[in-house]
Amino acid sequence: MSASTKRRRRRTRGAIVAVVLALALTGASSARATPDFPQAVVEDLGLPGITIDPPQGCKLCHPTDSGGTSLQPFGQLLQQYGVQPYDESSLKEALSQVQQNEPQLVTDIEDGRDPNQDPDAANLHSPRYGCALEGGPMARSLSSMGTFVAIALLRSMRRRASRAGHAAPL
Amino acid sequence: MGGSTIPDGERVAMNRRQRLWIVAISSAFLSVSAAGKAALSSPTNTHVVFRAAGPAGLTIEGTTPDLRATEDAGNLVIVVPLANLTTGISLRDQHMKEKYLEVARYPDTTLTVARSALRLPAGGERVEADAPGTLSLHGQTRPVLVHYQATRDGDAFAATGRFRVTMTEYGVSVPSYLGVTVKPDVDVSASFRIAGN
Amino acid sequence: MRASRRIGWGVALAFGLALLLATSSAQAYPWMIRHGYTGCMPCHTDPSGGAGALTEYGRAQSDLLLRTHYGQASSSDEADRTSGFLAGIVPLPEQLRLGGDFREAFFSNKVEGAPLQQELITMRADLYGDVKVGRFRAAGAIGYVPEGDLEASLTTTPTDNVISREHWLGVELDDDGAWLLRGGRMALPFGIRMIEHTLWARVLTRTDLDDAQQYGASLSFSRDQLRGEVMAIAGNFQIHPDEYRERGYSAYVELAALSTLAVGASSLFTRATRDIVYGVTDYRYANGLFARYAPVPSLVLLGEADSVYQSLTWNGHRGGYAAFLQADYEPLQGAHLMVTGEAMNGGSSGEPSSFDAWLSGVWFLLPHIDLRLDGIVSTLGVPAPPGGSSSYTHVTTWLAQFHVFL
Repeated sequence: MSASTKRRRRRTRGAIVAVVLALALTGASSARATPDFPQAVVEDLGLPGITIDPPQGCKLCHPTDSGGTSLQPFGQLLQQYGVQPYDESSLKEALSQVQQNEPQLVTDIEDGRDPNQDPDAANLHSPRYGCALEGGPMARSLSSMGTFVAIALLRSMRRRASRAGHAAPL
Repeated sequence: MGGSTIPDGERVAMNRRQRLWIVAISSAFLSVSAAGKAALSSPTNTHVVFRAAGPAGLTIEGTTPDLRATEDAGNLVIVVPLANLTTGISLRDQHMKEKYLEVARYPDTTLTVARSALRLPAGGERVEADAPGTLSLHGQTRPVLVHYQATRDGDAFAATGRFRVTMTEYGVSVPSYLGVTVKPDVDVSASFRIAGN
Repeated sequence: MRASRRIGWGVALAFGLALLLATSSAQAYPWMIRHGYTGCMPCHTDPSGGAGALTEYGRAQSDLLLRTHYGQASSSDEADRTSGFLAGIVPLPEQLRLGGDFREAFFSNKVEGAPLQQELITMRADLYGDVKVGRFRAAGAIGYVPEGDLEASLTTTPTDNVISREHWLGVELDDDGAWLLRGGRMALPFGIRMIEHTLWARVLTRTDLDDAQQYGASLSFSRDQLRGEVMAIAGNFQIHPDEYRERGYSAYVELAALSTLAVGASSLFTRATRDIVYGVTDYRYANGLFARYAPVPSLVLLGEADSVYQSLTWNGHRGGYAAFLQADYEPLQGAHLMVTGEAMNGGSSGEPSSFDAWLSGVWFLLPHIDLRLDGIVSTLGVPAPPGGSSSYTHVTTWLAQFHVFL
């Protein structure tokens, strides 16, 4: 392989790495609209067509048809349900969550009413704090593991104490 | 470092490798460089440091400015009094000197190196070498190997040296205090400046 | 017991009874480097210091080196028996280390143009435990907060919660205990661990000792002049649902170039599907440098500078920074005067940088007790509103703290 070919391949590899790193670091474009989403909403909800802000349909989620980073309350709600730009599967999942938790908003869209005017659109979720020991499988398994380890530690301490001729420390 | 909270576990970590002796060695050959039985002037800019290591990266550093150098029957004899050895924490110093080094019984530590074993720098030259000697510490005398560097500027010499001591070989108990035990190997380094006649 | 000590204990008890109200920060004193302690493990059960119970050695040092000694006490006296757990009343087996931390504060805050805000804050009311059997370790903390610290909460109410900031299992991988592998909820290894948890470097990087702990696996080491810790972050399982949990890593390494000089670097990356602050997918990066230096025993300089970058889905990218420099002067053992300067920019569009200055006094007046007073003057940069321009808000804060540790 000639030196120039090697240099060319190195530059290509470097460019690929740079692009991959850039994509990784930026995550996803956050300053551009996702133009296929209005049609995706139509398909996911089984609508006859774009019912809010036709023909563009961007104002379902954004203040203007330019899209961008600004979001209306309904857009923020979808965002909280995990919508990712250019990811129609995440939009589908988020809409199903809305259908389950805020069904009135889906009814608004179907009837051609702007859901951003509906109080349910402001139903932004908040995190819950504390341990759900009664219901969480992770908490249960951690609790079991902790119990096992605690018993093992106590037994080990008692064995060591009895070897040393003292009473068990705990 | 108080140990009153436990019945008998209080110990202080001190000695690493007594590079004190290295300083001694350095000053010793510096005097030798003056040729024949030239008298040694008092060393200046002396800085003697030992480093002891404990668990999990604990480092204890001790210093003393005290050092004397004499020449006797072809040997350089470096004596370091231990009375002013300090680690920066009074209680630790007290334990070190009273319990471990027993300075009241063994007030000094002495390094003896044959003059013929030392290589001294000429003007503007830098010398780095090893020299065998004997170290007396805590009533025990054992052979040691000293790594030294020296430079000469006119009639004056600047020297640094390094030395490793395993304290248990000199009958010094391994210091341990409230679960923190110091390793028996101690590193000592020293530097000073001396003018020969 | 000598008369001076009896009086001291009487005062301490009076304060203690008056003060068992509050919560606060842990005991993280990076300025111990002035005594040649570049690492944390000899005194703390957490390998990176600050969190959890003290070791027996650490308790002795807290009495010998931290607090003011009075009367005829000699500097070479042994540590007072009262430095032990519960003032030495309860002897503990060697394998068990227990502790408790109570901190109450009076907080006065004046924001320019807003009414004066004053309140009594319970900063910390925690109990800690650490068990060591052979090479195996188990540690945990449990506490109470009247309000706040929700990310460490075990109970599910908005206020008056039982919390647990740390709980983990570990194994020492070598005889020295220099390498420690742990799993559980732990303080993030990043930057300088300090009790000033509101420093912008801690807030912006979300690495304070208050409630920013995460679950994960951590490997720490401390050998000779080098120490560090790397943690794989699995998320905070005390927050629900799962999309709020951050996953990633956090790490630091520190080199003790001298016995009184240490320099280090930190790095952190996390991703959350729904960021706890912004509510959107967030890729968060933080990288920084820090240093600790004691040019003379009475003075310690601490400094840290971190860059923070976030990619917030639908909300753009933001790159910011936070930095501080603190000088700790200890003219008399146990009495500290500290001056701290900070600068910060969160990275929001059009956000001007914020600056503040602290003047603090801390007095470790008795075994287990210290008092602290902070005066903070801040100039906070406010991003420009749409069509407007950026501005500044001035804030003056006073904080008086009483701290008792068991």
